[in-house]
Amino acid sequence: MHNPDQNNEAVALRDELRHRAESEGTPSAGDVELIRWALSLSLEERLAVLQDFVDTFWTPQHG
Amino acid sequence: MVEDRAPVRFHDLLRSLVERDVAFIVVGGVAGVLEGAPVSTFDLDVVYALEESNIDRLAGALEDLDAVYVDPGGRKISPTAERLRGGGHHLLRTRHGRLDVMGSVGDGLAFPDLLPRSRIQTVHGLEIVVLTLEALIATKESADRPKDRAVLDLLRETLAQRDRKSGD
Repeated sequence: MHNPDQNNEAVALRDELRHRAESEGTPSAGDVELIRWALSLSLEERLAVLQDFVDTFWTPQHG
Repeated sequence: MVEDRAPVRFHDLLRSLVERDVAFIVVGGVAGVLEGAPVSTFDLDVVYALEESNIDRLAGALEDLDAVYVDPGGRKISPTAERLRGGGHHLLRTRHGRLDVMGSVGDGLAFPDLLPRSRIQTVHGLEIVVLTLEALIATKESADRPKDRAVLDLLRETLAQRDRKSGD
């Protein structure tokens, strides 16, 4: 579903989501770029990115 | 019964509910993601219709999923139709991970209240009803919990960017 560029972006997004999960804050300039990228994805791609995040960072504490 | 904790499988949970023809609305983090917000979550939150026939279908779907309540004491308590009839929040563990099924969210907003504030989205061939970004923001503003406040700015900015994009 993702081309190589999209995969790189997915990794960057995943890292950003991890950072966000660990801290609270207001949207930064980076957030705006992230939002624009997320909005450019299809519904399937949005859900796949979220699933990738879960598969990477899930621990039994979340379950 | 679910013996071990498992990471959530969003598509599998959604498919289980759709296949049983359960009337539900996706809310929470997954609604935000489907609406285009770069937020994260480790569970699926849905609001279900409280009609008797729907509760029976939901109970059947939850049985398919081997759902049990999240219980710190480790008891295996199943979400029966009788328990679901009362609405409220049912925090569940299933064969496909964490699933919260709720009779209402925010200031007591139930399925009929949320339906006009939702849209049908088709994901991998599944037609699901998803709370709109605008309504998601409103419910989180109403709930005003720390975890809601943490994502509100991001949701609002997503709405602003989406509106800007559609205006181009």
